[in-house]
Amino acid sequence: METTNNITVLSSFIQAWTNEKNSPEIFPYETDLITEIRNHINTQQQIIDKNLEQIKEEETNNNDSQLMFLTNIMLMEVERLNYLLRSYLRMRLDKIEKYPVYILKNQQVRESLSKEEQQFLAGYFKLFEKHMKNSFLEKLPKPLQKIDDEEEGMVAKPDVNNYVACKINEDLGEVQFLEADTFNLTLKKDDSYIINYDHIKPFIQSNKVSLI
Amino acid sequence: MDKSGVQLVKELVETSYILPNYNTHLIEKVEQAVDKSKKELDLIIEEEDPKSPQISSALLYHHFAMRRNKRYLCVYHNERMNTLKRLRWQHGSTLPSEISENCSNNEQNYFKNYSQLLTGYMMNIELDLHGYFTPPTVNDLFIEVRVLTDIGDIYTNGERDIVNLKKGTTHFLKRVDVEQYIKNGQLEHITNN
Repeated sequence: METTNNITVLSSFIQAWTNEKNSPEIFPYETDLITEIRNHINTQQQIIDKNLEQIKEEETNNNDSQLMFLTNIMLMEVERLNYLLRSYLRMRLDKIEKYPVYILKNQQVRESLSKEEQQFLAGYFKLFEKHMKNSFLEKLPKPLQKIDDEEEGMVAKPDVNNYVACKINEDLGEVQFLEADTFNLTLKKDDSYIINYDHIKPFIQSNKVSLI
Repeated sequence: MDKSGVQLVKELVETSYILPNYNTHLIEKVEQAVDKSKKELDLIIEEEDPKSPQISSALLYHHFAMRRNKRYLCVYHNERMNTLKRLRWQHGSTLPSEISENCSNNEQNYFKNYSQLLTGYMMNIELDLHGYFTPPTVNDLFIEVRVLTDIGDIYTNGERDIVNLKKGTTHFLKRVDVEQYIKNGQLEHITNN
């Protein structure tokens, strides 16, 4: 049971990481997944340390190479998880820095960030605004002093019109999409598509379609 | 028409430096151009009938000129901020002096504050986000390094062990622990070639 659970946690986390990597938008923070992954890393690291101690203490032993081999595999796993974890968090920070005004104005997105990320966002925007103001904004005429003027196109938004590769997770039947003209696609399980992100956005959120 | 704005942005594109000197002179010229447009705009509104097509096109001209100049300034500052942020991730919380020389006071403050913001976030989540910038491979896990300059004691293995990096010694260490020293040129990665 433990093993199956671990595999599910891992594949969910990899999917979350893939989503962040391939989508211009920022997804809701996976609090439970991250906690589990971090716990798993810590547990594994403890076992690794214990093994390394044991190997150091024992004299040249037949079992040594087996234990070392096993420990190396665990080490590899821990390093991979460490990479994924940090990559995930860094990608999100990147997006927060790219679209601070957009996220601040969009309550749903903002509230789906982790508490620490929200703090970072607030601090980052303050820093950004202060720097622009002190450097030149203050010296411009009053009507130009806004930093978040949507009319002027100053608010960067994630570009949802990029194409992404995705996989269909369940039979969705015929779905209608709106583009230059409407077109229909029959989305069957295990089909893969390269499609405009905007079109499949709602399906990703309900996990019916996954980015690959 | 004032070309300072274009020059300002061009400077960033054409430079071979990581960060060219903060061009206060050009920035002031752009600000002056904006000011001039504003004054002309105000003058026109005061004296002329805004409904006539000639007048309204003159108004639009100045309006767009101002906004374009503002955009130049924004792009210039934004690009430099991005460079500074990148440097923070690559170099750590102290700017190399050649670069901070080329920064305005505001930019130096920005760098310092961004650095603090990052550190604060990492402390909040109790995780150091540095290192692990590329996916690990089997050969990458542990590497052999030779010490080129004295570094002294460093933590390895997540602060569980201490290794003394003395000039001339070689060690077999976790890549993540020594990445930064290799980048700095203080350690040499020994490959079997």
